Amino acid sequence: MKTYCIVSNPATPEQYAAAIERQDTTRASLDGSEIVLKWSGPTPASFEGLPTLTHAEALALMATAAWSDEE
Amino acid sequence: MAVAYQFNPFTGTLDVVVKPGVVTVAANCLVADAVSNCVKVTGAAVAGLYQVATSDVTDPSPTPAIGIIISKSSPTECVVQLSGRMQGVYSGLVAGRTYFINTAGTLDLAPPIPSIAGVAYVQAMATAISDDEVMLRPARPVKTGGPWPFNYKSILFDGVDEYLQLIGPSNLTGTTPFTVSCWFKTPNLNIFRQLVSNSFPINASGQWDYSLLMSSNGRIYWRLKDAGGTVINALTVGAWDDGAWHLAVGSWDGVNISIDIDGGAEIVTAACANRFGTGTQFSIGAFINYTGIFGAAPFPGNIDEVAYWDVEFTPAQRVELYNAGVPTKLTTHSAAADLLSWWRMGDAPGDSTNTANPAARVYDVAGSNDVTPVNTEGADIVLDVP
Repeated sequence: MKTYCIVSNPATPEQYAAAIERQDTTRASLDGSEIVLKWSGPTPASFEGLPTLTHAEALALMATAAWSDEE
Repeated sequence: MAVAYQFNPFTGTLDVVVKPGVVTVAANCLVADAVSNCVKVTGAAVAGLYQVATSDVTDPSPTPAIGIIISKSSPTECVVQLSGRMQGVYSGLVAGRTYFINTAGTLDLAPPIPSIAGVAYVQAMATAISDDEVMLRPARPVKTGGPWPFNYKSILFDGVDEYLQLIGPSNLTGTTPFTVSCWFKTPNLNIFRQLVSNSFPINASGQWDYSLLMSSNGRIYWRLKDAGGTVINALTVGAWDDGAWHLAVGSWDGVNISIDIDGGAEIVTAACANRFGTGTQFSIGAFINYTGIFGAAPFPGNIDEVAYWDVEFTPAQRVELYNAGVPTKLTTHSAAADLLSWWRMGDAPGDSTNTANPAARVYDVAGSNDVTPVNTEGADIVLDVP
């Protein structure tokens, strides 16, 4: 199961290393201030203490105006 | 000869298993049998020559040994290689890929459809070492399962940032009639999402060559940019975000674009006299939006059996492709001659969505437009098919 986390853009090198995403493939908020990263399994040390999102919560956030500029 | 007997749990018989290593036999064959053909041994050696006959890759019955004709010394005498390294018989191979060798000696990236559902007797398999060299594997039966023998897997996208892409020029564009088809399954989430698209690397509205997408209310758009730069839309009335598998087929016949869901369950057309073409950013599960962002509008759900055809589909061909809701092997479709690209979405040998490996690809089994997974992991290839 994947766990998602919103962090400031850019993330730390440790966070990029622990995430499935690469620095050049991350999805950013429309204003570019935040990015979403994810991992499977236990929370990596570089994300400990940060608020996390379930898949459903991440999908709901991505549908907001801060992240999607649709159609 | 390096052989052993092995109990076959599917047929209840003993099969001869040829151990790895180069093994060849001299054989009697037919005049019509050619070098590269796949043959089966049908009888013991007579005067030093085994008896061979054309193999049938759909026949699951036990076969003593399967091999490839590598040379002929006369119209009815040949040398058959049963296993091991083989060079110069085939060409144009991609190193690392596993091929299934059919009766006529052509190579397929998918296993044959057996005549008895559930059991595929894979009669010859070879893994390419270089463009003209393979390691021939011993014949063996393979037990298969699932609702259809050849399709077990799809790719599950998270709708957050996962997609497949092919950047750069390809033959997935142009100004001639074409068709895009794919199976999809997505829940009602009230979000805009992309299925298949080919875009331009520009920051301007109407950046698609073509785009198959779902609006936030679950209706399917088929969009094509005409030669004048206008984006033409065909939009379904019905919503198709019901969590069930559906087939979407978008076509352009030179006069109209049309979107067809589930083999005629809903068909919408719109006039479009020409096509802009020149798309260079092909994506499955997302697109490049008008601000130039890759991976925009990612698709939440499963996508399977994506194909690009260099011809428009007739209504009858859409029904044929839908096949009452069960995907079929596209190389048997009546438009197979115009199948340019076909992504099995996890079923092709070597398909991988493990982006920890930079070489991970989802292979095009009909052409050479292999796509690269982005932000996915290996577990995103799932056992969930129409």
